[in-house]
Amino acid sequence: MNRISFCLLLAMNYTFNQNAYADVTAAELLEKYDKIMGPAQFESEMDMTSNREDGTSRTYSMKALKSGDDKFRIWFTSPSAVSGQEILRIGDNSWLYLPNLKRASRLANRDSFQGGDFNNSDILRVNYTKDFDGKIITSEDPSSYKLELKSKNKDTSYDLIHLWIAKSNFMPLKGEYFGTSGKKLRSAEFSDVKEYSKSYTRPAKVLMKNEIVPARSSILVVKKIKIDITPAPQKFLQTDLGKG
Amino acid sequence: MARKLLIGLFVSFQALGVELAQDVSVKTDVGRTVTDGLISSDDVPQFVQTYQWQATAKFKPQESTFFLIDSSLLGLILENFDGEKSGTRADIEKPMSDRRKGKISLNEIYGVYEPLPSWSLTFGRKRITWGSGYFKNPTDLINPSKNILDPTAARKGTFLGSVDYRKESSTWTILKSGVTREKENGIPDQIYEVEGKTREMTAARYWTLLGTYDLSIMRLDDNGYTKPGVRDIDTGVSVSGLVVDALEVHGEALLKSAKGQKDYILGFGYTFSNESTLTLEYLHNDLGQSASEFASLAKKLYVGKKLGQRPSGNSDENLTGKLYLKDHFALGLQRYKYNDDVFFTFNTLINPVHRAAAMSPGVNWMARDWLSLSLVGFYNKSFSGAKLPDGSKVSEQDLFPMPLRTSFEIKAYF
Repeated sequence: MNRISFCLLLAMNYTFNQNAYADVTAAELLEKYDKIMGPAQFESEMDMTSNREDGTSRTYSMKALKSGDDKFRIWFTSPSAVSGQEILRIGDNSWLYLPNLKRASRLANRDSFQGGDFNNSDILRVNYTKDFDGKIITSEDPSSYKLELKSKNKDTSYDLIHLWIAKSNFMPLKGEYFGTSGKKLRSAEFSDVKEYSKSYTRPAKVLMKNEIVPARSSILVVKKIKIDITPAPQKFLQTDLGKG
Repeated sequence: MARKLLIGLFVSFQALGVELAQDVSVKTDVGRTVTDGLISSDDVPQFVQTYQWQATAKFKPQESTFFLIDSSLLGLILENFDGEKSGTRADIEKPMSDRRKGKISLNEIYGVYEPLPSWSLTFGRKRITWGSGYFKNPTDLINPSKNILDPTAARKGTFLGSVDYRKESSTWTILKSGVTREKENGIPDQIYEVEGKTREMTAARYWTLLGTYDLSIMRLDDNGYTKPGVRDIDTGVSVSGLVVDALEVHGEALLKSAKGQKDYILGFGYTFSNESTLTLEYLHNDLGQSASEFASLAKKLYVGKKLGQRPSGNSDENLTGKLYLKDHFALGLQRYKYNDDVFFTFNTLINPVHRAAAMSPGVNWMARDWLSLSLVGFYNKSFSGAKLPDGSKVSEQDLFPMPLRTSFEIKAYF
């Protein structure tokens, strides 16, 4: 009897795990992640605080506007030293506009975002469905899915990502980001899940730890975000930079 | 009282939704002139201190309307004129006001109105940069930048009205501007006149994004650029693009239709993993001197010096404006990171004909997020040059009246 019960339990557990994997696919999880962390269009106000090795920190405030998969624009509002700077991304093209020069220079995706621990592509290019192939692997935490994402193209900042997503609400919990050498470069913690509107909830805070220099980290806080907008296509032209 | 007034003004601006960014800076330039060069350095000050307050206010009363004002209050102290030591400075009797200058500079004041999402109208005084060159922009006829060795130097705006028609990945621009005369004190409000006619520019540009390349085609019509009163319609082309993620290539050219003269640059920028950028550009201008023309001009200057007639390096632009060669290379390393707050830069203009270079190394320390300190040097080195009658050699770089200079700047942002 005990043996039968044990076998039954094993079978139930196996079936449960299979269901857990079967009720959602990696592609669906990636799609949900993109919808939460990079909705199709939004305008937002964000703060990024960069914590340095020497114990000092710098906080940058910015406004952001996104349209579709390929268009993103950022206006820096503080501190005064960077106020007026803008970043524009159109597909594989990214520019940094410097107000004192009145010119836009091209940015590489791998550059760090304002010298912090996020890469430009972490902020400007949240489209894991397009950039990564994903598969669900066994999670150490039964309350979360664990995704292994392998880069599809050379433009991504990371070669491999491990991403944990809550089973209860599909919110991202944490991530680990690896380079082509297999070395862990960054790790992220997603927290402070907030309902910004009836149709939109996301983690308000992302802590990105630098695994190469452990004393370094950056925190991105989304203060406001609206997703029910229709951005004008003209806002995503290089010729619009510097025009407010 | 003054502080309360400033705080009051700041709060009032914020209440109106005005974004205000300000900085104050003190910059000290110390240089050493060549007292016995071919060009006179008598009226070149070896000590210059600049005090500047700069404010930029942005105001967006509604989604379709945007205003910007960028102005500076400048104070200048000019000391240690070379001619004072030798007693040869022509205007040595000038009063002290010559050495203490105050100035208000209205760098930009303009409004942008978008009657429809595709249409944008701009009016006012504005800086315009259409070309992709880093050290030099041959197509910049609207408000030219002057210092190749300081690509970060802000240019002055010009009065203009422009209309942009914007599509999803392209923009048509038509612009009309007047070439502004800078007043000694106060707000610049005059337009140059040439033979009784207003000197003006009519320009058009088509910008488009093609894959990872952006392309600009320009037509620039200036009635006073080469010869007063003569229209000279120039054609400009600019392109830049990413070859691979970290390698950018660019080119910019101006073809002057009246004389068929070309002014162009070709270059690339490579961003290293530490985020520093190396930029190399080849610069060619048909208006410059060939090696033999330069040698002939240098001999004339030599004879002039022997006769006690040297042109001034500070004010005789008719001559000094011609003392450049046709071909140069410009090389720059930007933002070479020592740590998160300390960056080195190095810019150099290389003259391959004379195996000479004008070099400008610099270091910038962002001590706080509101305070930066920078130290920039300027130095010339020549290994060859045009041969003079006394057997000595002089290069293009050797003609600079001040071959050695150091500049220290403290800037506070608030």
